Amino acid sequence: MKRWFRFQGIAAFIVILVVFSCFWFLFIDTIARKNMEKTATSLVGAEVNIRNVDLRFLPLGLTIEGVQVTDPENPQTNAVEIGRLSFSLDTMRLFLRKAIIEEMGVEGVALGTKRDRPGKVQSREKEERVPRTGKGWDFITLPSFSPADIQKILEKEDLKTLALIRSLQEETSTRSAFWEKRLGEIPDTARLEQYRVRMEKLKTVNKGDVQSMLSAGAEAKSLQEDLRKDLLLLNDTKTQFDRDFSSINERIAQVKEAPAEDIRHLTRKYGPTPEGIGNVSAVLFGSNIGVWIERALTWYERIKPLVARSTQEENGKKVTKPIRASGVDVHFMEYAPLPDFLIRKTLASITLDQGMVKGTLDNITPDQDVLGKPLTFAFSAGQLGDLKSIDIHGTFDHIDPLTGKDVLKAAVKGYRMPRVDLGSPALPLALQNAVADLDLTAEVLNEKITADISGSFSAARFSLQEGSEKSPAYAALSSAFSKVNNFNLKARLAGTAEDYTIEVRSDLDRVAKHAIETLVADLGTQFAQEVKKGVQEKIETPLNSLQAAAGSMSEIGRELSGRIDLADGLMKDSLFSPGKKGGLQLPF
Amino acid sequence: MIKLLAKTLRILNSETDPYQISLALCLAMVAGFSPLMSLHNVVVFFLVFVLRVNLSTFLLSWALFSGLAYLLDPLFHVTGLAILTAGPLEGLWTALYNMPLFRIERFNNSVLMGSLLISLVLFLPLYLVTNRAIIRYRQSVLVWVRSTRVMQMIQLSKFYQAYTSFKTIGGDV
Repeated sequence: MKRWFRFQGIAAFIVILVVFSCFWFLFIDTIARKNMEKTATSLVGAEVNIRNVDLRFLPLGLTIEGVQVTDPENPQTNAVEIGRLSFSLDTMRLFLRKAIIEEMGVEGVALGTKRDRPGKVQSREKEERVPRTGKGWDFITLPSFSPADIQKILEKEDLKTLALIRSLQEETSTRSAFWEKRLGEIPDTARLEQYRVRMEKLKTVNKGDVQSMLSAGAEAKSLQEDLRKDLLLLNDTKTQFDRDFSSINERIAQVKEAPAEDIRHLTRKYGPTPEGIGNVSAVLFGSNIGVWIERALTWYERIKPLVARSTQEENGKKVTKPIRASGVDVHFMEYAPLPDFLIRKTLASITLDQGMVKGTLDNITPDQDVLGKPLTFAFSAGQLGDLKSIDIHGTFDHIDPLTGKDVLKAAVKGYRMPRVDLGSPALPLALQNAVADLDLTAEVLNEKITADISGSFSAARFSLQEGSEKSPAYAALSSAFSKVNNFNLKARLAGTAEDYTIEVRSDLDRVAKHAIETLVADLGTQFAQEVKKGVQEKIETPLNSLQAAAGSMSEIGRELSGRIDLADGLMKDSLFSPGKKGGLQLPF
Repeated sequence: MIKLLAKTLRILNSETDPYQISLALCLAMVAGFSPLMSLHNVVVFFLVFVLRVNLSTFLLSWALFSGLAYLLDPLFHVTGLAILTAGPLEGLWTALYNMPLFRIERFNNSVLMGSLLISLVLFLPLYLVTNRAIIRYRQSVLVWVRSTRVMQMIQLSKFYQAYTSFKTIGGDV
């Protein structure tokens, strides 16, 4: 027996056990505090400090004092500070590894308190959230223009007027050359004057000489025929010329109309338009709403494991990942099912600068499927400094782990808002003050989020932020907003935590749209005038040249008319009217 | 390192009963493989104190097996999960799951179950193998080594001095 056993070892074992127990009793509070800080820090992702932990044994319970949870977004402050947290544990169920707390008191909860020193923040690259700025949130940028800008536009653009002038000038030159040539081909003044000389000669024939008279008569007839043919040719030519000249003139008239068309085209293409002014609300409120949504989603994801732990199945058995140990815990059917961790009721009081908000949280457990009840919470307060009332309540329902449904409803009435900076660098407005009634309904169903925020604002006062660069749009909108006293705002979020869209609408859109449209109309007129000036300067020389070419054509017309008049005058001469005085009359 | 090796050799070469060394090694394997704060480790430590096992061997091996456990955790997890989710054993596990003692033991954790199972399965073979190995070592290798010229030279070295400095530390407590 002695070969195998050393009985003094029992004494040594007992001594070591006693020493270990004494050590445990003496240091359990510190060990528990350190473990809690470590676990909470890993859950939150930022340093969690606990001032004191007191573990009681009869009855088994725990009091935790001075809990400070660093805000991961701002390590200088605490996201939450809890003055005192106290509860008792069901000892018998603890042996079954069940932490069942019937009632927990949470006192002195404060939000956003200053830390003595900045808390350490764990780097969580995967969870890092960047507030989104949707495409529609970039503010309209109205084009600015100067004479130099317009000059560049005119250099770049091919003006229809110039093309017309060039084309017409070419045609006018061709036509002009044709008609110049044609003038040389038809009877000219010299030829007509020859007719006159011949006619005068015929008039001097001896009227007593029959032979001479007969010969003169025949020549006069021939002369008249030639003259008639020439006159006909001249008239035909003149008709054709007039048609050509008229066509040229019509096109010159079109050229004179063309600049107006060019100006309209350039104004449409380069001038200011009210496009893109659709969502001023998103510009003004989108960023702020986006930041709050990102913060809310970050905290929601951090809190979620506390109400619905990650559950998987292996060979049809439910398995869960322990928070600190390695491996997985496999869960089997319990004869009397109870969650591993449960706080049936939590009475909490949150101390704000303006007063105290009280509320309850029921059924905090990561095993709602076992308990069969969802986590519910309700907080409310009346007349809290700057607000008349606040009411927040909701449900985190993960009884069926596959179809989790979380609902949050909040109503804030009569909130006297402090100054809020709005907008983007393009429109740096500030809401100096307003009284707001806000309603929020948020729902997460199967990872899909929908949230509706509606706000009614009265006694609102907008102002420009000082030191910002002024633009015409900025001035117009600030002027419009300075007249706004009341407005409504609606925002809707839809999608998943990773990919969602935010739609923001308010009746400020109408105000902004009207202001921008008026501004754009004024700017458009100014732009059109500048373009008109530029176009006129650009076409002045070619148009003058064209008009000169057209003028030379009218000279041809005048020459033709002169020849016709001359020929016509000759045709009416008394020589060809035998009955008249001076006419050629036979003696018989 | 030299001291550690010297200590190991000193134990092997001592007059300590081979079963005391083998049993210490096997108990260290159970304690080393499984998570320290497990209920069954209280039993292991109790046995270490009560049974005449070599404490030095236990402490050295415990450190060794604890280090090895980090490498073998994936194997323990897979084995434990397979056993815990095996259909025919569901009734047994369900019954144990509803007993406070076994819930404290956390037998339903895959790593704990795997490490405990593997160490228990290896317990007897390891005991027999090491027992036999120590006996054979002492009968043949030790005698031969001591008679070699190299060993005689080593006896003059710093290593041997360290080895002899542990002579007073016996296998028995």
